[in-house]
Amino acid sequence: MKKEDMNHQSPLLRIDKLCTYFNTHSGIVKAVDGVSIKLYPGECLGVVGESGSGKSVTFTSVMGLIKKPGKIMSGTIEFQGQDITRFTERQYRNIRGKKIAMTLQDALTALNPSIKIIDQISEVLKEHDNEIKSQGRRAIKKRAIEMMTLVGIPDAENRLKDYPHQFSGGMRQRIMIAIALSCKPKLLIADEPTTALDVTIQAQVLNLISEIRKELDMSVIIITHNLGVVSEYTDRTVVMYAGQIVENGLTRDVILNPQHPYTKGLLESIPRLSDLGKKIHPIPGQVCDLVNLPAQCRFFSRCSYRTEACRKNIEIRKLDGHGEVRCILIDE
Amino acid sequence: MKITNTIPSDNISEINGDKIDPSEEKTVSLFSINMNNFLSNRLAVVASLIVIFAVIVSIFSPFFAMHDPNKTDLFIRLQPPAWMEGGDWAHPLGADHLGRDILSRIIFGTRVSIAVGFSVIFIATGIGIFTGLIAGYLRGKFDLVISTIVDILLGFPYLIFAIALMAAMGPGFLNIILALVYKEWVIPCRVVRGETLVVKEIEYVEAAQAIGASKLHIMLKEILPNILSPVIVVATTRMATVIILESSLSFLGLGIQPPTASWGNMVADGREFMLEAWWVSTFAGIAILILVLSMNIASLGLRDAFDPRFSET
Repeated sequence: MKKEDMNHQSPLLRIDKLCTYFNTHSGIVKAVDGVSIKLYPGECLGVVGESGSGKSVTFTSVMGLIKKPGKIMSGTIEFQGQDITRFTERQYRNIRGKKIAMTLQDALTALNPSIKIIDQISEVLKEHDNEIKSQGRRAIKKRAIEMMTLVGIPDAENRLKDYPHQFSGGMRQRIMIAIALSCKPKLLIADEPTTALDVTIQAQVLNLISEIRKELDMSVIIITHNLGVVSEYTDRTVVMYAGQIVENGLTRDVILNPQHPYTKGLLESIPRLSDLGKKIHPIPGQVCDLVNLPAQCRFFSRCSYRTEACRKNIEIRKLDGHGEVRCILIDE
Repeated sequence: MKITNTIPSDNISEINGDKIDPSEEKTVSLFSINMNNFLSNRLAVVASLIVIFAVIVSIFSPFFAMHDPNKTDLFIRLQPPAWMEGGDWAHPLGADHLGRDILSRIIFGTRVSIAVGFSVIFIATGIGIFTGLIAGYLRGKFDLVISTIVDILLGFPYLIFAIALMAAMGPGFLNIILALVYKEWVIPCRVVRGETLVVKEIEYVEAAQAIGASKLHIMLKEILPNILSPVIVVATTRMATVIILESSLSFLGLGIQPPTASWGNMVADGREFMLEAWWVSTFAGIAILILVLSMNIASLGLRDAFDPRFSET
């Protein structure tokens, strides 16, 4: 799909200046601080950043599943034009699983060990799909088999009554995807879909997601810290750092021509097979303390290009093309 | 585009070259694995067979007993057991001070112990699961209220609490059950609450929220099946204690009233004749001992099989 076309459509999901804070003993942790993201129908967005950059919290906020002491302080999350941050619990339940589905980080613990696979898949259907529910158990079972076959579980019919521990890690990830997709959602949020998997299975799972995405015409958000995953499977990439977006652009631009020093650093810290014997260059230091944020660029202490001019709050700026970047050193 | 096979489907049923016929594969739940563990523990199996036997005896008491447990016959007053001088096999364990057959009374007494034990545990565990889930999952005010009640009740000595309640309500079968349930539910409640606090942080609960499941659904369908093992273990362990408490209450004359036979009041009956006719009290006492011991061994076996990390309450 052409990116230019997308701009004429109204976005499926629009996060606007979202702030999600955690009120802890040591102070207020600004886990997500003014994040704005637009996602168009059918688009695949990659969200990258290291641990603690706020990528998971952003999309847990979208699902309305922020646990205490976390709270959405300000900002709006519009889904299909409705501000879902104001939804009641009941309204939210109608969206979760039905229109927005999320697969969680760890497939090994995200399936209930004492419930049969068939029951875990039919749970969603019973919750949201009244049509299939009225057709009775046989229809639900048929649909469950369909979903399991769709995600490539061999011999689905005979494995319906198995428990999660009888499946391998990759298979469990597939089952999670099957559960997430069984109500044909408009948006799939895949939180670290490949972290617990080995490399060969990773590719299978990601291919699966992007094929199903085309088939069902849904939008996908892949949250990951693996830039390889992003470069291969996404249309657009958002790089997050310390609760803020530092770079946002077409994946091709972000990977081939990174603007922000942090994105550059991320790309340089990937070990490559072709660099055998050479040292890789990690980014020195750690993510800054999210409680006491000084009025300066959040990447300041780790940035190799820093100047005195960086000692102020940096706003995100539009670039000529499609991108945005949060750095004063980049010429407009 | 069709997306059926990212993996060729016949790969999976072939492990190390051995073809596995899917129809031969059995679905193995965690429960059945645990059950196999339990069955390999012989002592526990014997103990649970004794408990099962006691349950059968209590249900079919009239078929097991040779005599009416309440029929008095003063000609055989304090008749010794059959193997002693003066005994006969019509009354294998002898007779009490009113000439009632002790074996028949013990058989009918099983009814009281089993009925009180099972109903108290059943009701208390039900209440405990309900309150524990609410306290553990919803937290907040619910948790505060429930936990405070639990803490207060735990502060009372059990027997004294039951004696006070029985004194207030008067003796009787239903009142015994009520008096014991009043305090017994706090134990499953605490266990359920604690386990819920652990389980609700596991990702599958969040996953269930993410598909739009209701709170009730999450509590009953997602959390409860995963905390059931420790709850079953606690319930069986506590049943032995409840049976002892019932016997104690009956012994003190606050529980089951004569002439209905209960092991507790049989022990009490024989107290006066302890020196001349030891069998009146002793066999009832042995019955309590065997049942309670078997229940404890069986529940220990259950605990080892189902929940290795569980420690004594």
